[in-house]
Amino acid sequence: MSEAKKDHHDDHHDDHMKVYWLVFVGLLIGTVITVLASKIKLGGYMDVTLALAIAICKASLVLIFFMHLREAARIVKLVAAGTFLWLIILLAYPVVDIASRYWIAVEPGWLNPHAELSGPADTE
Amino acid sequence: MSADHHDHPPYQAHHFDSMEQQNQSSMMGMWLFMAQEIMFFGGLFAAYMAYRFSYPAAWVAGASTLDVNLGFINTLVLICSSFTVILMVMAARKGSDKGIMGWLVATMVLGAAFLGIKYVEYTGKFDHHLFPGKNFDTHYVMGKMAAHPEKYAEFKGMGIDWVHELVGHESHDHESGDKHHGSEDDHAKEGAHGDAGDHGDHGGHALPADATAPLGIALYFGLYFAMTGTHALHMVIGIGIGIWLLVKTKRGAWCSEYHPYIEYFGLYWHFVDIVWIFLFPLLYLI
Repeated sequence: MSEAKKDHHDDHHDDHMKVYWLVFVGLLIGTVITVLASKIKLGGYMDVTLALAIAICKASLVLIFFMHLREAARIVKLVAAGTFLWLIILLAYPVVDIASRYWIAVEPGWLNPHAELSGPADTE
Repeated sequence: MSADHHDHPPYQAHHFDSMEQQNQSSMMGMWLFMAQEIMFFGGLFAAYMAYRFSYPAAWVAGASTLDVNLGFINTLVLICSSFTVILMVMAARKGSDKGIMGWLVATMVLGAAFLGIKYVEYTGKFDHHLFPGKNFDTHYVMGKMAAHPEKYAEFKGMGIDWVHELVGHESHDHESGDKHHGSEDDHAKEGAHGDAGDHGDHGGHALPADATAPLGIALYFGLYFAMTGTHALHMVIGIGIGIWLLVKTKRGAWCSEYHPYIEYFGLYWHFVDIVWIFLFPLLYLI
């Protein structure tokens, strides 16, 4: 390897190291933020939404920088994006389903603020 | 590299036109494997989502038995191990076998530390009879609920109406209350097991006779052990693969242009870290 090529290689690595350090610190801070955010009680579905949003940010940092998705071939990016789209559908649709269900055992006020205690059988 | 009739590196397989194509193909294969792993864990997370919103009181009660500090430390341990993995991959790209082995060992040590903390957590759970099965007992959970009854104020119709009567009479943490020292000694004399699990966690106040755990509490712990157990199993497998890679590296299997399994191990380890990044807030920080 010529001298010039070696220097370029090392510069390349140094640039990468800077980014990796930044991401590492970002992840540590993100973990602290996760714990602090859990102390804020937004009520209802917003607590878990906030926790998931922060987790998704941290996971994206790991995926794009640590797992080299940024410089991966397009087909690899497609596989990763497709998988996460699949995951979002798997998690989001059941939540929407359950959130909109009628709860017979639960008093009005939680999950179903407009419900009557008597249940759907009365409407038959 | 001697080339008789071969004009490609010895590690290039014959059905590929170039190393670039080979690398892209095998990288895609690795990502397809990780897609399968995401489906694997995704199923568990979907079950978690379904039951968390069906039994919210059980989720709050179950999470109160977890030690957030241990979970936080474990998260930091895994993030550090992800960083050592990146340093390992950088060393591989520079062609440094020593660097690979050093950072690989560091990663595995951090992984072992994670598993050690998990062991401490699990034995605590088993001692408190929180593993679903024959010896499942909810006394410990109810004790935790009685210590912070205000957290359950919004949950009606989940079998925990007794907690609402405790709001306003809740005990202080047993570390800070001086009037609880007496009951602490009594519990110590009774011994660690077989005293119905009160352990003075709620400051010595007895649970009312009609106290029950929230609907779905066994679901929470079933999912807790399934999700963290599967994750821990992946850590163990990862450490096993790491040992194999150490041997291969020592035998000089890699060069700076070709070290596929080091890269894929890195991806695997990062994936396990990502799963924990989601597990921590969902299980511990409710």
